[in-house]
Amino acid sequence: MAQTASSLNVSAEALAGQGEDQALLARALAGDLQAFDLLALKYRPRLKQLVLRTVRSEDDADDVVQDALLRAYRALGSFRGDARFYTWLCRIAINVAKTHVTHPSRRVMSDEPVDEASAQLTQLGPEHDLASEQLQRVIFQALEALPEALRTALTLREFEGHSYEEISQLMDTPVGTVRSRIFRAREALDAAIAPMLEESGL
Amino acid sequence: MNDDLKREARLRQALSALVDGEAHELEVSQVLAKAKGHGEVKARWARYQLVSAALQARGVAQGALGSDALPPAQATALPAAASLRRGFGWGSFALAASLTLALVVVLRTLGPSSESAPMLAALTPAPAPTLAVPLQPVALGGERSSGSAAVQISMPRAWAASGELGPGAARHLQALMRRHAELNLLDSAGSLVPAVRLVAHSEAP
Repeated sequence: MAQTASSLNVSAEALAGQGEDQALLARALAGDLQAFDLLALKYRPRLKQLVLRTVRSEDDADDVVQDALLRAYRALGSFRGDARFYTWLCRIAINVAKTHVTHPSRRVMSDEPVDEASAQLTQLGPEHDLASEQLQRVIFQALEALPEALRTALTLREFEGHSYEEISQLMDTPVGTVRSRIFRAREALDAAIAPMLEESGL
Repeated sequence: MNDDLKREARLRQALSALVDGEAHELEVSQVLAKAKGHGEVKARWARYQLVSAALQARGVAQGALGSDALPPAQATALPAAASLRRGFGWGSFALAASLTLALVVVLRTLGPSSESAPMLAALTPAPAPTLAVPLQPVALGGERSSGSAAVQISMPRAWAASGELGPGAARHLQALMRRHAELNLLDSAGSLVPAVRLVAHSEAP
């Protein structure tokens, strides 16, 4: 992709409205495939959940999402930042899903996934795992077992949506410490769910 | 810890910061460069996102406002509506929108012009008032389960005393409105209702 940030004409203000996606989106718009791939990994489970309202099977949903992400990647130049990136992806996915249902013959079955590793790793975030009570229970048990400082930092971030700077002020702690605590908390939760994911063959 | 392990730890910490949109430019570059050849980076990213989504969805569904995970002093210092974070599931959003709407209604009722405002201010530091909000439990992934429940919401004392939405709350309400626009795409009447009600309320004279 030979796009550059300047040629895409996406304003800094528009990118600033993209929340935590801002950094990756800016790079994806500049043609960084890895940045787009991380965004795709992030949103793929939600997109699949969305298209499952239109298509009937999980396999079809996987096809639709993959197709939608390919189309999104190819159409990045048309993204102007006037909506959130996920909203834009939703539009594409909904359109692809409708086409899939009404005109099955028009399905685009590309042999070029956005990224081969990405396609494989999609299995790490299926929505049925996300919805799994067991998984959530393990995560929350691990959260409860965290040292208070780590638990508080992660809670303020995930439940309350505070920025690191805000958490720093609330906890009267340097931003670097907040960042480290959130990371260590995530590592602990990640370690807690790893056995479950391995058992699931993911 | 040798240099390789330190570098690896720094990279994972940068990845964690990137999940939150708090990574520095250089770190973003490093993560992306590493992600190119290492599936483990992407796998970890996906797991971080999974944990994040599960926490946000469960936290909101449980009425995590004034969560037990927070020390009392910090819990009372937080605006309750701030739990309406970007990125949680649509079902959770609908639930959170309902909670926020209820809070907005209460706070408007206790607005500066209200006779109750000075009375509430005089009550500080009385225990934070709670509000029982009837709601529908929402399953993850946007599917709504049957039945109803009530969640106890602790209102921050500062809000109850002033009767005004602070800048944090305003920011989160803005995020909520943005979510509403996104929801318009989802063709899901069940999820839209709370946001629509919020719009109607905020535009009321």
